[in-house]
Amino acid sequence: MMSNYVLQTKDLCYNYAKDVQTLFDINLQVPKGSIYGFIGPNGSGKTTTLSLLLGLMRMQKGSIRIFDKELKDDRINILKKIGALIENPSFYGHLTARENLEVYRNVYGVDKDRIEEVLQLVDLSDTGNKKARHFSLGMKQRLAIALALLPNPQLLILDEPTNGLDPNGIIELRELIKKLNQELHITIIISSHILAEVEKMVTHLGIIFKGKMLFQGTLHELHSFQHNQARLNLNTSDNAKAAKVLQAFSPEYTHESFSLAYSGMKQIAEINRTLMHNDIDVYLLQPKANNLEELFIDMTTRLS
Amino acid sequence: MSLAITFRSELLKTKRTSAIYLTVLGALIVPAIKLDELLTVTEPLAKMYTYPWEFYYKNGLHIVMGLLLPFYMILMTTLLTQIEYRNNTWKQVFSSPQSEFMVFLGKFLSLQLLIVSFLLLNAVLLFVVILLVNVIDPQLGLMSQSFDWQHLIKTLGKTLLLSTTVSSIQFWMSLRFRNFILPLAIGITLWFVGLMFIFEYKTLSKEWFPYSYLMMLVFPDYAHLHGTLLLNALLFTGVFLLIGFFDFKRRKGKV
Repeated sequence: MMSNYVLQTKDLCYNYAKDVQTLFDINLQVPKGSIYGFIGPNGSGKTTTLSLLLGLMRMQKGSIRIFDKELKDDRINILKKIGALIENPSFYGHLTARENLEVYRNVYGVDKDRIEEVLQLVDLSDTGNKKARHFSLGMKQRLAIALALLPNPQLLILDEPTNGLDPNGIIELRELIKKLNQELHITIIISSHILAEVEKMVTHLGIIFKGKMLFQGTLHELHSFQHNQARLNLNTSDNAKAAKVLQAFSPEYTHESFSLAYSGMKQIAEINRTLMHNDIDVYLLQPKANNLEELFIDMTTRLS
Repeated sequence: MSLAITFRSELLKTKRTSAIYLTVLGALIVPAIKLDELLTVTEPLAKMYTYPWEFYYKNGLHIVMGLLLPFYMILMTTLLTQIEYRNNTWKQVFSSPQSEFMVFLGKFLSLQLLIVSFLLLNAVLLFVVILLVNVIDPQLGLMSQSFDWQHLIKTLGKTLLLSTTVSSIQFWMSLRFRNFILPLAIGITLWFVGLMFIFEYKTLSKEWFPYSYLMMLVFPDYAHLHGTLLLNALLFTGVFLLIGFFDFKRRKGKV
């Protein structure tokens, strides 16, 4: 039976050195037709995971299924349906945009017309004889995406594609990714270390930190998770005593102040009352910034 | 079929690279010097050589085979593999639907094609030079002298077979090291040692030192060893291609 997931990993582990593990039991589930944001700070294991998905590195433990096939059993046929951009845009600087695509055209078994199609799609059809090394950073990024789109992929893997792009470039890329997903129904995995950058385009998210998955689900699920994780920053004349009397609100120390879990405005008033009844002066009582970026930073700093 | 596709892809990458320029310009060096020599000597050419076509080989093709070709191969293997390193494209290559074996073989074959082109270009250009000289000095009467084509074809064939050893060793090293200086320095040192073996240490056995093979093909003193050299060359090429391939496959994630 066909699975709903284009890509699934099971207990994927990887270590570069014997005693330094980079990935711990990664279980990715990328639904068909989704834009899956794979988020994590630099060095959290995103590129390692994506490299394993493309067979760029030997798998040590776990399994990878793509298009309902084990990657290790049918790598070449699976790669025929995947477009990828790993780390920096990679192409041959001494060749033109068309020549770069021609290098891979037969490898992917596509018609000559496809080169013009993808060049138009990324708005590079009028670059003529200009060598790729003379392209602007945005153009280089678009050429790398054109290369990834060349095989008419069912799955597109983009590793930090917004790196080095200016705000306009980021907006253009976002629109292109949405267009590819909505019009061509390509499933897209896009990694980034900035949640805000991908928040506006993804349908699903996976958050990785220090090689471990912290969250995986839809954007809606993340918002619910965020709601459940709402916290209140607090600073008082006697923080130790306040933490003791507010034990029910799961106090957590962060630097000089501390925070409490809460689930509504009424609870803020209740916390304030409790502090006043215990003769504790309140200097600060403020809900933490309520956005996904804060949640992401919270999730990752709490574990660091 | 997939090898043909990978081979084509590898050849397309060499377009407008220094690998192509080096092949063409490198092949002009010896013919140009030869032309200059033949036009500037004061003695009659017929007196300088024992038979009229001798100057095709002497200070001509023999210089290409023994000296220029090994040096060309050392430079060329580095230039070819640097195309991927310099453009940071190894990951793109490996994430495309090609097996590591095809990529390895495709690259090695494109290297061999350039080596063959270099050698043939030299052979043809030397002919052009000799014909030019014959036009200038018709008394040489080269057109009325027979030319031993079989010998030339045999010599070129042997040269190519013997050269695969050095090219496979250099190919492995160039894939192994991201830093292009290393394979270049090691190759030039070994080539220099090979020359010393031939010119200075004449009593030492050279059949197992591939960097001396092409020079041994040039000197008639080693004619009796040609059969051994060809067998050894095939053996070395096979061994180094195998080592090179497994090392290439093993290091895939690290490039």
